[in-house]
Amino acid sequence: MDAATRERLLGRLRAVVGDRYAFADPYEVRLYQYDASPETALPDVVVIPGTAAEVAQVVKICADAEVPITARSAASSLAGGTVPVQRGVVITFARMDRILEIDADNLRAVVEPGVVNLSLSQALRPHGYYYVPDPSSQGACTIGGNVGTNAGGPHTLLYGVTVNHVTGLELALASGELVQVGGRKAGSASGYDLTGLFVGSEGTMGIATKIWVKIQPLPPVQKTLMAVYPDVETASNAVSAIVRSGILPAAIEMMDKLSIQAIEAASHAGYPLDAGAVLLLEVDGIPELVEELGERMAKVCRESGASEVRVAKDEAERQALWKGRKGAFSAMGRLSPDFYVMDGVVPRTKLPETLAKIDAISARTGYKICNVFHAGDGNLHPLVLFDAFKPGQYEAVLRIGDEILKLCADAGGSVTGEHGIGLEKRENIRYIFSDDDLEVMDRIRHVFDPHGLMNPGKVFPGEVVEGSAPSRAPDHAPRRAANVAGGDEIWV
Amino acid sequence: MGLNARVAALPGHEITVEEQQPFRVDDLLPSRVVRPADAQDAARGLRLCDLAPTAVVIWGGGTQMRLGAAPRRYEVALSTERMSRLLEYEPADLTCRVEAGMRLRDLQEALLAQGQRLPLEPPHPDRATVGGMLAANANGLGRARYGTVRDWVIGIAVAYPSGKLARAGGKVVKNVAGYDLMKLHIGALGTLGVIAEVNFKVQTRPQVEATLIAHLDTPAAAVDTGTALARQYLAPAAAVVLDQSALKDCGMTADWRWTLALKFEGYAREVEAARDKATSLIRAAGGRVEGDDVPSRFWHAARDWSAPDGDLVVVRAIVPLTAIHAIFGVLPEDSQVMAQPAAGLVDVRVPAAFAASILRRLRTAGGDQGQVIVAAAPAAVKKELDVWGPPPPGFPIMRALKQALDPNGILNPGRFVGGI
Amino acid sequence: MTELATLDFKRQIDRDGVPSPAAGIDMDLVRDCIHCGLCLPKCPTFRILHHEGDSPRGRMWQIKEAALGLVAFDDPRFQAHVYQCFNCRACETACPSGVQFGSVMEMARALTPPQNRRDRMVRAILLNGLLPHPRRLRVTGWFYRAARAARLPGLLRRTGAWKVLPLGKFAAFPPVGDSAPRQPRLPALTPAEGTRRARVGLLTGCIQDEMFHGTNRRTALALARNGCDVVVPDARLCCGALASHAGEAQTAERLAARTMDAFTGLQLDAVVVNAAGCGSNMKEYELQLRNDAQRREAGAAFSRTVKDASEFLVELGLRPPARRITLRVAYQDPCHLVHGQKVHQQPRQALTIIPGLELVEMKESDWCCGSAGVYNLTHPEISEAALASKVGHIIDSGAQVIASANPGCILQISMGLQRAGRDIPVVHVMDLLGWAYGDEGQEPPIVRRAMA
Repeated sequence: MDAATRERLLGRLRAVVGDRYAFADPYEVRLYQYDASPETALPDVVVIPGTAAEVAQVVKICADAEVPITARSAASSLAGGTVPVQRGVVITFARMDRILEIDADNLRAVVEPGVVNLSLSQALRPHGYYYVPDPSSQGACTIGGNVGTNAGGPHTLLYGVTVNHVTGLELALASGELVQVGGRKAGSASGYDLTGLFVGSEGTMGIATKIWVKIQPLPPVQKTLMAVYPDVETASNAVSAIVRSGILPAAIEMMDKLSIQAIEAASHAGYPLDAGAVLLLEVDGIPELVEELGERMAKVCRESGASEVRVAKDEAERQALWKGRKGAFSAMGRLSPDFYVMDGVVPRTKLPETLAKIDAISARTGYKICNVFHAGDGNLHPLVLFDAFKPGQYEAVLRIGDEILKLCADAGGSVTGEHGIGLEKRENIRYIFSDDDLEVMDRIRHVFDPHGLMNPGKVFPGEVVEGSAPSRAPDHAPRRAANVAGGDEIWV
Repeated sequence: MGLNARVAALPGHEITVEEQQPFRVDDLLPSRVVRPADAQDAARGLRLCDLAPTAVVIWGGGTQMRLGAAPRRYEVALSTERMSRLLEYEPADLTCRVEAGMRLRDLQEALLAQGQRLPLEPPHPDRATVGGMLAANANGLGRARYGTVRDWVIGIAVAYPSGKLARAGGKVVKNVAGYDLMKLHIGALGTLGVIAEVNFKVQTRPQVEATLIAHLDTPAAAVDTGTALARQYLAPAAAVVLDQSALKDCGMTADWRWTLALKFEGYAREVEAARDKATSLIRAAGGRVEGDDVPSRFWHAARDWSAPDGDLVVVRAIVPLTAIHAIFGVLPEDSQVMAQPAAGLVDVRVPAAFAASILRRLRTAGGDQGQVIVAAAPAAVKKELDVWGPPPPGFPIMRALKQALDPNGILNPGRFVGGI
Repeated sequence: MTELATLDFKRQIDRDGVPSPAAGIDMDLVRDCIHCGLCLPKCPTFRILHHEGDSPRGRMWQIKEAALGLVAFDDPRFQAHVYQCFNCRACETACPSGVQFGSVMEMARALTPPQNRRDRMVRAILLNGLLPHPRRLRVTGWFYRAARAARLPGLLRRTGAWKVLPLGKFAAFPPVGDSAPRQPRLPALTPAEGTRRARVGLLTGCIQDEMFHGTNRRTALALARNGCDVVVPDARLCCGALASHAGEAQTAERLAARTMDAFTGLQLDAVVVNAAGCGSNMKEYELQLRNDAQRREAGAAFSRTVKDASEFLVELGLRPPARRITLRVAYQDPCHLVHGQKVHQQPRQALTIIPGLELVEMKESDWCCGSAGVYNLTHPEISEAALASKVGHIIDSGAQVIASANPGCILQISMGLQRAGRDIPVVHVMDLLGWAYGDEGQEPPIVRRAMA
């Protein structure tokens, strides 16, 4: 974008949000080049709107000027989802962090996109409710970002991910309109489920400016167990044994030896440093039942090779275990200056063989790979440790990542379970979707965003040319041909 | 290519008058029927229809064919009856992949053999197919506890008029790669593509089941008890408010007007505690627990009640929980009602003559946060009614989506919202 | 201005080799940050300013870029963000990667003296001109107390002069504290009462001793009542906390060395500190003395002996006081205690040992009140925004008295509450403990009434 264009754009944006909340100073916009992934790209302008109406106006201004828009709130994406790879305008939701309504009678809460996930549950607690999806970054990530990526978390094993808990959205569309889809009621009786379609679209269909979510009564008791295993294979076989036993816990998490070391260094949560692997299990419900399930689960764990099963004796101990688990990625900073995290999914029964193959990759390449993940739903998070200051390591790690995701895809799984495709996994999406599959998705994207301005360069494969909008990759542009019957065009 | 050549290129075969009858939709009959052997076959057939272009109505078990407006055109019936295989099922993964024409009961029986189930119970599972359940978003009585179809579908393969068979989602329970097109097709009434294969996540069958029938003096008390149960821990698996006639339809006679029927499922201890809690709530609301002895067909009949065979008119309101009273408030005194208060859903069987006026009153009462549709009606009545109500906000996008995926408008033309 | 490249280390390294970071920044500490963002919702200045540059992650990123030469240390925008930080270290508590944010911030500040006029003035007058000089400090203390004795604060409030005078708000709304111009010194040794359990040194401090001499006396009393010989070194010591937190590295280093010397050779079990900022600083002398190879090691050893007063007393096991104080008290966590020293429960335990005292929790008790060393002088607007939400939470908590453990917080919150027209005194945890152990004098009327 040339300087004159930028100044003109900035002037129009400032007229909407005020001088303080739109800026293009090259120094200041540098602070919006990153998220929690290793990717970076500089935006031209940053806008911090205060209301949905302002967001819609900002989008309209950008659309009129054909400038790409990337929405960002906590920027805790692990896949580069909020990195403005085609430059343009970054819209951040630091000011739109209000809980608009807690409507316990209808089991709903209405929030702005910048509301931090955990703070919603904290606000609900006095009313006896909570918001179920709990990504490990819930202390920072926002509901708006959760909607973008259809975020999961440990406790979604039993209760479902973000899309299962969102009933309505107010959207700022590329056209500059503000449209409400869904709402307070449960489900849609007439019309396409645009709410469900939008959740997980990673900002490529528009921007959610208001979100209706389900809230759920807090379980009376939660019991957390830690089962200690000699190695990862025994632990992953145990996961299937637990599922087969007929108990589906609220969460089943696995941590391997390396992760335990990092977690303990960071939080002293009480994980045994000599364990080969640990399963963290949680059951919730009424006290008598939780007691019974806890005992049954402990029995299954022991029978499946656990050397020790420890039950968190009070809420403080339980919180400590979870805090350790949820801080695991960041705790890797203790083991290695850099890491690269993947988000592959495999069918539960394929866990042992997949983990063994990942181990073999680690042995072959010499890079340490730790595993801390949602074992219950087969959602792996292999973390490849490396040092970005050593030449060649980053490229090598990217190749390892590709190889691991290919493994997951070949096992009948997916290349992302909750982090999103973002910028990083655009090419990996081909492991699971054919050109035909992607073409249908691309057509749908085109309906929402005909000029390719909404978070361009994400989700879909293809080369990204920095600063080039619209973004449509040539090999995935919908192909049109004349209708043999004449007149109308059809897709071929 | 001339017209004749194009007709000759259509898939399937021309059918006799007798063969036409089972494929009647709102007084319209097809001239051809096509029965694809599998997903690819369906895609090829659709491509031929699109080239013509000729209007296609998709048939599963036919249990929801009276939902939606009458088709604008109808030439080809596409029946999924040959696509009925269970393609993959790994009990330890709690997932399966099935063809869209598989009957729900067959699927449930296969799951049951492994102690598992799909907690979705749309009406008439002996006839209803998996694909039809998705297209019509047909849900049973467990929606407040177990969610709806959208919460259990993890992958989908859809045949499009372009002749492409395209997938979305996958076989694993957690997956955010690509767009969630499952959501788009569920409830789309087959207007965007033909659902050919579906991947589900399933669950372990609950340990125990129990039922509780209670008598309450007013619909308000019954509804309030039902919603109160949903707002606390230990919600029942199903909570249904029935009027006297609906109760009779479900095989029970009673001398009281309003019934709250509760079904509990889960671990034994949990069910016991839930039943105790419900009992005390019912008593607090001035109700009387009538017992747990119900005819074996009670829950099945209740499940099928909203999709009756024959010429009955069923109107359905979906509203926020707090708006249910307003819905009951405008119903005529002797209405035949079955409501799921915890899901904000009220089904009413209305006499054809009053259908239009009741619909109007319900729409006013439902407000802008509610939706009121005609869930089933004979063709003659439909002509007088706006079955979907006013198009929702976001309708321009819906129309554009239809245009993008079915540009020649061959799929179920006119049956969906706003003439889609 | 030509545009700079993005900070794409990974690929850049393959191209240009490993960058050599600026001297004075420990790059290993900087690279601990993996920019996950978990700190953002815990950062008071991010909440007030909404700008990534004013978040801990943004500040780490800027320091990293500056260290690698992508932006200049003396860039005014760099300085603005770096000095807009409270350095409250709430981000350290939130950080799972264990980033030592406070240390990195102090290194960065040391490399970029502030350009802001107000900031420079505060440094010249307060940090370098006054605090390191015991005699000047004593004279200033005398004037402060004399002015209070002459009821100057009341005059300032009545005339509204406080609104225009420098430091006017602090002068007009002073905390509970000393007003007698002449102050007795604490004895060199206060002997233990009952069984002797430990021999400790007590830092009386600079501002602390001039404005809160009574608090020091009550700290010594509490220690003695719990069986400690309390040794007070001869010199009036400034430990260098304010200087180091503001990035005045040389002054900080000099003061650190002097403080260590004063406590050396006294055969102490611990050095007890009742000012959270000082305690936090003294626990990190290794960092202050990082440029002094010989003393660095000694600094680390010294730091291990430093304890916050309530931390030390709770560890020792508090003897229950005889006097009841029937009061509803909320505790405000000083940042340098809860985040800097991870001391969270001990002050609460020390308070609840007092018979009759009811401890209530306020919302966000561990959020910075905006005092932040000299921050309330250098950045009044942002400081006021933090103070306003603190005052709101205190009022909502229903507490009759606020207890804290740092002079800066006590000054700031006290001023905020008085200005809001609330008669909620702010005192030190050691004040309440001292009164409960029988100390007399200076207790605010509400406390006096509550003492049975």
